[in-house]
Amino acid sequence: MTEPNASIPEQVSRTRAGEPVTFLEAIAEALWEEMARDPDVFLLGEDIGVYGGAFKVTRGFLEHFGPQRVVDTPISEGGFTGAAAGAAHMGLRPVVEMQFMDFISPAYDVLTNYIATSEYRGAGPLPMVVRGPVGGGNRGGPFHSQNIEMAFFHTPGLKIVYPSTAYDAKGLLKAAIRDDAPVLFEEHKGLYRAPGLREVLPDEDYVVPLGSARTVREGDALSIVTYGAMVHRSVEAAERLAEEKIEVEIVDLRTLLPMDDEAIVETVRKTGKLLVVHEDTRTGGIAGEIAMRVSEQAFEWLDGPMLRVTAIDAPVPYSGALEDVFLPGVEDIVTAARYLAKY
Amino acid sequence: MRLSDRLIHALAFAAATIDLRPRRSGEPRPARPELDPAARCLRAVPAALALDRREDGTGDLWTHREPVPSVGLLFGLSAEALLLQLLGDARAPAAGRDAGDLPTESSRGLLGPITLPGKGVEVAAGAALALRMRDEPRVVVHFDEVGGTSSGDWHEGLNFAAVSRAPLVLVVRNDVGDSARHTALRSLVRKGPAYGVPVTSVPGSDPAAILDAVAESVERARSRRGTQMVELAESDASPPLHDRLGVDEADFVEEVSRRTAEYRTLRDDLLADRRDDLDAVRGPIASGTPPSIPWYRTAELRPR
Repeated sequence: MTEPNASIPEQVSRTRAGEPVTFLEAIAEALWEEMARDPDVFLLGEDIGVYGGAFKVTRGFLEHFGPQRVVDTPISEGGFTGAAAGAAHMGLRPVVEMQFMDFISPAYDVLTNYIATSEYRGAGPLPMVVRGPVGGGNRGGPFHSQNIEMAFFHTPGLKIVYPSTAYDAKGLLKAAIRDDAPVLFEEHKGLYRAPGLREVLPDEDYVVPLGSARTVREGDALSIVTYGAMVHRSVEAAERLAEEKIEVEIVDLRTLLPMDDEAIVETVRKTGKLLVVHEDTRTGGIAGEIAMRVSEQAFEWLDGPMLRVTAIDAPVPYSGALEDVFLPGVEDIVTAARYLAKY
Repeated sequence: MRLSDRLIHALAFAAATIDLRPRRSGEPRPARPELDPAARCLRAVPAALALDRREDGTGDLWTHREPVPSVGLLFGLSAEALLLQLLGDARAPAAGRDAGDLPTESSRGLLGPITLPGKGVEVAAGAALALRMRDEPRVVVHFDEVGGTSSGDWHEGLNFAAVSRAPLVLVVRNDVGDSARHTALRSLVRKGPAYGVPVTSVPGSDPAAILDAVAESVERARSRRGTQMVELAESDASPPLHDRLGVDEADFVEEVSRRTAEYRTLRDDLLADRRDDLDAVRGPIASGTPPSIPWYRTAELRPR
């Protein structure tokens, strides 16, 4: 492995300087710190080295860690994800960047048939992370805006993480890199540089455990279970509902696989009403799975129908006006929550 | 119309549309050869000119990976229609659902942009196979750049086309400056024969040579000699474009500027009158199955 040199890029220096970081900088810091801590951690992906990544998450990494640990790949998502599995077999801990998570589909075969089944088959654990930007709202059209969790949610052997804050993004990514299971790590690109998400992070080595949800806001009228960018839309909706004396409890799942059933059941038992909000499309979305788990574990506590606010069952449109209709908005959440509260 | 006149229109249209979708960050686009719309245009337009282009569904077919909206002008699409498509306007063929730079209109010979690396080769191979199965003397041209050659789909598509003896001509830009990242074997001249596909290599900076090479490959594919490939290679000592085209430099530049201003005026007029069709996204709901209808989005449906 190449020895690190002294140059440290700006986007991974803020916490050390006591400055607030963006969601994107938190991810960059996590990668940097894990690479510095463990020489077995290395990165590979399209344009991550010389170019610094499509979103500049890895700007300066190549100069510091060298080309053996920051590997620019051809446009071969299936190929380099499979290669990452090979490196993981050899004891390394690869972190694969998908330039956009929409591009993960060529790697579906190796991820679901080979990587996810490895430990179960007795072929050993494959500690690796596949991370990248997801989500709409950036006018990226159908090939640069998707949420990919449900394409993989059905696959035993994978973990899926989807943070909503800078603190969680850093802590969860560090935990994912240290985990012995393959982890898909979704980063909503709308959060990357959102000014409201800047926060000062602890200047210490912390992790956020995988599989643990977080209560964002307490309330008693109903529960919103959500994740990713929809956490912030749900909070905005809750603030509006609070003006109507409707106090909403919001649970941020943070990790989708494994799912924190306990946190979901606990909030449903408290409020008796459940609204699931996700940006992914409706049919086959995670809301269906959550509703079934609640039905199995907390049916007696329900005082109303379980509802969901989601994107529409359609590809992500390019036109901004169409995309705004397609995506779940604050007004949608308010409407559904108000109905549920009065049920 | 002479090649130089075609290129003037194409370059002007490319210049008028480059900033149609400004980056959210406001940062200028980085200088990357493969993202240079003028360079792409100067290579794609001569290649497209080599096709037998018709508007009645009997001509050759074109598809590409990287955006080259100027090619649409060659296939009979108006500048206005192309601009509306790029704007995501309700009046565009895609009605704002997609940002593809060209609509899919097979009657004009446009199979549409296929931006997924390698997938274009597979789709084009299948379209070409269909032509062969129907014994139609038509050809499919897929315009790609070297980055796509590193995807597994590219290899599968090319192998399938070659085995099927599909009348497909694959035109690959290999002059984008970073091909070493994509292929250890820099030239496709040796790679094509490994699939049983003959390769003609011409300088990517010579539009006339591109036109000739693609035209010859198209005719070979049309005469049942199977899949062909044209490599647009790097050339160190390329004379300036106007020299290659045999035109006066000042006149060429002036004409491109004049046409660019015209296209910009049209673009700005359309921008000022931009329209959205929300039914383009509600449509799938209205025609879909009931579970896909979010009740909070519709006036007609309410729970209970």
